[in-house]
Amino acid sequence: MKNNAVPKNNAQIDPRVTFLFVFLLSAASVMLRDALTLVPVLVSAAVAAGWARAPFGTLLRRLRGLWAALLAVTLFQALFSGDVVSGLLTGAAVLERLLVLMLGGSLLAGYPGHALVQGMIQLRLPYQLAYMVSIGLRFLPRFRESFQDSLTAMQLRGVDFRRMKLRRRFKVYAYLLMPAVVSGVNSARKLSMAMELRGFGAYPERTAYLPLRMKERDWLAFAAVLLWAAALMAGQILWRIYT
Amino acid sequence: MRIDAENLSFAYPEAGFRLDGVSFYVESGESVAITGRNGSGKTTLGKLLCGLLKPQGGRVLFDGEDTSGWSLPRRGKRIGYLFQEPSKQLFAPAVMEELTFTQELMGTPADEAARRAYEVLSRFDLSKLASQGTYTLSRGEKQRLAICGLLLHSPEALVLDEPTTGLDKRRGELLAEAIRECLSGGVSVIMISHDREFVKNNASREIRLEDGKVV
Repeated sequence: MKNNAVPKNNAQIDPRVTFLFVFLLSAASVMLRDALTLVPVLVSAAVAAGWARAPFGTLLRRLRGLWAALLAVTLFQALFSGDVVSGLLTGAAVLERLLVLMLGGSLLAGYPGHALVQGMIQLRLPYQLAYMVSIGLRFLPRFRESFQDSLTAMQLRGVDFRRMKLRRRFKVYAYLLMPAVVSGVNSARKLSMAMELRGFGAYPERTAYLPLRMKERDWLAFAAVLLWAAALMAGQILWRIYT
Repeated sequence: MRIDAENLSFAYPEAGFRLDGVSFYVESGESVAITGRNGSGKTTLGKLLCGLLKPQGGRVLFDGEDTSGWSLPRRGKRIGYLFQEPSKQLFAPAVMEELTFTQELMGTPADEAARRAYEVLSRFDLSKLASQGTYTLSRGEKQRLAICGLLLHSPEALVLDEPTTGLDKRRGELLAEAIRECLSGGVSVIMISHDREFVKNNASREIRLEDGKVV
C-alpha cells in the first residue's frame, strides 16, 4: 500500500527517532548531577522542542498548578543543601531536570497518539505503554474535574476553605486526592473493558493501516541524535578531566 | 426558607441555549417541581439557585436577601443541592466517612458526628453499608447516600435534581417520606424531575420549562 499519510509531528520526524532522543535526554537528565553540566542537555531539549514546534506552552499551562510545588522543591533544595551557593545550584539542577523531562514529554505530545503507538509496535516495545501514556494524558482533565467536584460538594455542605488554616486545608486536599485517583482508575477500567470488548490489541497477525517508514530526513535526524549523544558524552568526559 | 428567583437568565452560547428571564418563588415549607423536556434548562436553573452557576441576569433571594455576592459555602449552609449524577458529590472513600468528614471539619465532635450519620443512614435503609466503600455502591445507593449527606446539615431548602433516578419503589417512598418530614419542618423543596408520579404525589406546584422559558 502506498503510504502518503504517515502520522508525524510538526518537524516531520519519525516518532521512533524522537523516542530515542527523548530516552537519551531523560537518561542524561537523571545521570548528570550538577546544574552546569545539565545546561547543554536543557538547551538541546529546548532547541529540539522549538524546532519541532512541540506543545510545551500548552503543557506548561496545564501544569501551572504544579509550578508552586516545583519552586517550593527548588527552594527547599537551596535552603537545606549545605551553603547557599551549592544549595542554589542543587535547586537549579532539580529545576533543569524537570524542565528537560517536560520538554521531552512535549516532544512526544506533538505526535498523534496512534503515531506513538505505531512507533512502539514497530520498535517491538509494549504498545500498552504508549496507550497508557496517551490515555493518561486524556484523564488529567478528568482527574482535575473530579477533584473540583469533590471541593464543590464540600462547599455545598457549608465547608469554607478560605476560612480554614492552611495546614488543615492541605490535609483536606490530600484527603480528596485519593477519591479523585480512584475515580480516574475506575474510569480507566471501564474504558479498558470497553476496548477489550471491541477486540483491542496489537496481535502479530494484525496489519497497520499507516505503517511508519524511515525516510532520508529521519535517518539524518537519527544520525544527529547519535552525534549529539556522543558529543554530550565527550563533553562530560572532558569537563571531568579539566575541572 | 422562602426562595425568590427574579428574571434569571443564563446562556450557553456554544450550545445555542439561553435560560431567559425565569421568575418564580417557593414558599417556606412548600414543595415545587420543575419539569420540562431534556435540555429545557431545569438543571441550569437548579445550579443557579444554589450558586454553582452565576446568573448573567437577574438574582436569587433567600428570605428576601439578595444572594448575588454570597460564597458557595454560605449558600451551602442554607440550601442543599442533589446533583443529577450522585457520584459527583461523594468524595470520601467509605460510606460512614462521607457523612462524618464534613461534620467534623465544621467542629462536630467525632462521636456525635457518627451518631447523626448512623441515624440518617438508618432512615434511608443504608446502615448495613456504613463500613462499605462508596465506589462499590449501586447508583441507587449512591443517590440515597448523597441525600443523607444533604439532610445531615439541616438545610433550610433543598434542590433535588432527578431525585428518584435509580431508586426502586420502596426507596422512592422513603425519599418521599423524608421530603414530607422536611416540609413539615419548614424546609422548602424544589425537585427537578421527569418522574410524573413522584411529582404528582409530592409537589404542590409545578413549574414547566420549555426552551429556557417558563410556560
